[in-house]
Amino acid sequence: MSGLEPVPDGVELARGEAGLAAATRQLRDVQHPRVVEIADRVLTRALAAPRRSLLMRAHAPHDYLRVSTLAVTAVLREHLDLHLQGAAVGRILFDIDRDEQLLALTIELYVQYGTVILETGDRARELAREALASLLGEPVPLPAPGTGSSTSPSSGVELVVSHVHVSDVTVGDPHVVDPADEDRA
Amino acid sequence: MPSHDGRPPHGSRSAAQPPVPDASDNALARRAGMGDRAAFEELFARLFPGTLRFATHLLADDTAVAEDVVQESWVKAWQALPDFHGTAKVQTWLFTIVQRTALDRRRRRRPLAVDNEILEPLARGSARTTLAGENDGDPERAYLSGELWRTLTLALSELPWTQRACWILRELEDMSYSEIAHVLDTTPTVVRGQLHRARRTLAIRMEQWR
Repeated sequence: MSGLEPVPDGVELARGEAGLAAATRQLRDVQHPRVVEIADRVLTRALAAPRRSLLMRAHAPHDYLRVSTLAVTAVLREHLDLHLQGAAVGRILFDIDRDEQLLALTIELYVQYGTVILETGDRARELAREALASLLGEPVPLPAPGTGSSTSPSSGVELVVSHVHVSDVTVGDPHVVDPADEDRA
Repeated sequence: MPSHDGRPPHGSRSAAQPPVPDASDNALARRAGMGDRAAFEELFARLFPGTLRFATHLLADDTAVAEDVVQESWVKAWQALPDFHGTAKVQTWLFTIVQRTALDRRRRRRPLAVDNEILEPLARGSARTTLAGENDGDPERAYLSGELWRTLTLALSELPWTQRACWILRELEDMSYSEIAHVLDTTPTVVRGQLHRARRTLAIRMEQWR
């Protein structure tokens, strides 16, 4: 191969390779002397870093509040992962309009092979509704176009569509494996 | 099942919550992306030592910068996890962030084109690592004391950037050629060539300093 460093006179490459192998074994076992201290600092800083999010309206007794999609995502995921059998949440997508009304919610699921998908989808919808109600207030459908407004914007949550999308299937428990893990296996 | 009033029991972790220690790295990344801090902490516990080792050896002449690079990388990872779709292993995704952050810091610090032909100047005596300790800069003394890894650390700091990165990822992190190629944004063939050169140079140094 061109560009290789020439072996200098008096240097026995095979012996150097043996030395390198021994040194590599030693280096693998060397721990950074301050690894615990650095880890604590880095983890604290990382978890304190803000993530991007959108805001959506929530019911309040006399007006409305605005809730971050980060909070809603976390609660939805925890609630669904806790109660949904044979399926785990892959992603959660929000469609929020300019007035910060939640128009649609899409929940991507990874489903374990053999799980009944339609029942799982219905259960996921039900659980998502519970989680949304706990955070934003009870979702109500928007009135059909041309039928007048039965709910004012300040009355809170108007969820038009809730999609449940099964995006992949796993052989193992989707809470602890990812489809990509099984693709590589 | 949900609580009797139908409200989700958020804020507390139930015994029925999916187990974090059993989850794969990618499953943890998915959950961390959706705000599961326990999943992120588990992922951090698994992958942080490797990222610190990688940055420390990659930036062997400046450990303070290496620590900053690791911190910046994990902050970026926490912020970007919601957009991680699991098409690659989360380990290679993380090491890609570390490598790019380290390269960026190195370019900002030294306004030289990064070129594989530029040798890191061992001779200037600035090749130091916290790992190198008392035999800093004296490879012969390190060799004689039987601490071969100190000699190797110094020899590593002499290698060009890509060779050094390939060697660390292969020999210390046990990555495949295609995973290394993903981290360094190159091809497995290039990785194979860079590794061959790195191993040869390191073997020559180890023998010269014996």
